[in-house]
Amino acid sequence: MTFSTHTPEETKQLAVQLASSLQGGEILALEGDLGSGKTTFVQGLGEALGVKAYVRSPSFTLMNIYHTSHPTIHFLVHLDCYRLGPLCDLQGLELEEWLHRSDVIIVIEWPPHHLLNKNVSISIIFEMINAQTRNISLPLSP
Amino acid sequence: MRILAIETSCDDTSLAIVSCKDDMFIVEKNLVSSQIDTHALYGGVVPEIAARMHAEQIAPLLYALEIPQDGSTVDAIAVTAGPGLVPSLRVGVACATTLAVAWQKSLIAINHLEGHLYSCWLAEKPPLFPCVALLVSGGHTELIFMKDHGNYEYLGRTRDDAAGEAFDKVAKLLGLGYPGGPLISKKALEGKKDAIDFPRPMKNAISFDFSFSGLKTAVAYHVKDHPDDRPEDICASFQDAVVDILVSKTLKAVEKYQPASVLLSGGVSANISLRETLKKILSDRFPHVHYHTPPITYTTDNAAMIGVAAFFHLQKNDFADPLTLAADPNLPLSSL
Ligand SMILES: Nc1ncnc2c1ncn2[C@@H]1O[C@H](COP(=O)(O)OP(=O)(O)OP(=O)(O)O)[C@@H](O)[C@H]1O
Ligand SMILES: [Mg+2]
Repeated sequence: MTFSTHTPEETKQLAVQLASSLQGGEILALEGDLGSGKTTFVQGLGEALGVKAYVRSPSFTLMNIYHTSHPTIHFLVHLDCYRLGPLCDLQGLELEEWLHRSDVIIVIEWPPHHLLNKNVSISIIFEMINAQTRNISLPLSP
Repeated sequence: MRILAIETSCDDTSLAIVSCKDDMFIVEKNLVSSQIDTHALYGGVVPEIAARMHAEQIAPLLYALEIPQDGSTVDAIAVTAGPGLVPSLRVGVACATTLAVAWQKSLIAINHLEGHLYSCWLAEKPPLFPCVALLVSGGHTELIFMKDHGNYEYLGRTRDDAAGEAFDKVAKLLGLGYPGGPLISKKALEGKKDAIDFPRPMKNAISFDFSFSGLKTAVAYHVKDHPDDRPEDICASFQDAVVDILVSKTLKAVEKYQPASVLLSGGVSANISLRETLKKILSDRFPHVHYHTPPITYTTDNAAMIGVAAFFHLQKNDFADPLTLAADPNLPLSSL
């Protein structure tokens, strides 16, 4: 389903809606051009899960880990492979400790190609229409 | 007093020997082995390769420092313990803890950001406290109030993208390559900085926080809508917006906190326009405030700054235990 949002807040709100359907253990892949709203969306996820810190872009730090205050999902792991390139594998990030855990949500901006084929549970695609409008495709019924 | 310092938190492996005499620091050696070329080969940074390269480079660099085998010319060992990627950090931490045990030397764990702050002690004169410090790099944009050594209070940080990240991404939007900062400032030299009126998010907000994602996005729209604009003008106008935001916030902090010194450090502090603009406006408006920024060589990641920071930990007897010290990917900048 594709949604049009017209402000950063609407994009965050969409993330809040998605968050309520998450069980824990999911991997979310966020694709879209520079500035299309991926990090903004993760900020919404953070709000929904009760992350107290600002969710910042992990493009340089590669992986940011947030504690949440959600009853069952305790960590939001925010990855960004922008600097790694589409062909990277995630070895060396020591992701193993976070994978397949029902108290963790992993969300990846600029996901590497190999990941898209198999491991991703939810794929979200961002498209920049104009200065305000973003089209966001994700598995959510209106 | 002579310190061996080790830094492997990012893409560069660096080892240094720093000594201190009469409150002045002397960088006897500062070796940096950059991985940029290797990563460029792979089209990006590869964490696993980064860690492996640190492991391959650290012994030859240590050898090149020509420390006697018993370590007798070194009094203490300093190492970056975080933040950063664990596999990379771990290489430096393992080397430092091993040497500390083998040579029976004191070990000092340093936060990478603290290292950047202390790179300002490598400028001509030591800064006077209190300081307002602007720390700008690829991953960080922070305004910090330092009342004294080891005393850090966050005034503001970026809420989304870091300033260096914005440089990097705008370079990508313009197809300029990596690393973006130097390429943009070079192009900006031939552009008109008032050609495009890019937004300055958060500039006039009461908060000392920064935001650069809106500026990045504004450049993205502009490139899309005006494909024929001169990249030089886009670079100059963009750089002017970044410098304007950083300088205005810093001045606002100076007004409020009345520091004796202003410090500018981190990779983006190599940007000449930022260095010069801050210097000029400070001397115009706050002539009594001292301004310190490290020589360009010490703006990017290096071990010398880690060594300098370690001296002040040493004075407070703040040592790490080599048997338990572990790399911490999220190590916060906390006061001693
Ligand atoms: N409808 C909208 N939804 C989301 N963001 C919007 C919208 N309208 C405008 N924006 C602005 O677009 C920018 C989106 O930037 P953001 O950093 O979230 O993108 P990104 O996809 O994470 O980019 P990058 O590829 O650099 O990581 C923000 O500055 C935000 O304020
Ligand atoms: Mg992003």
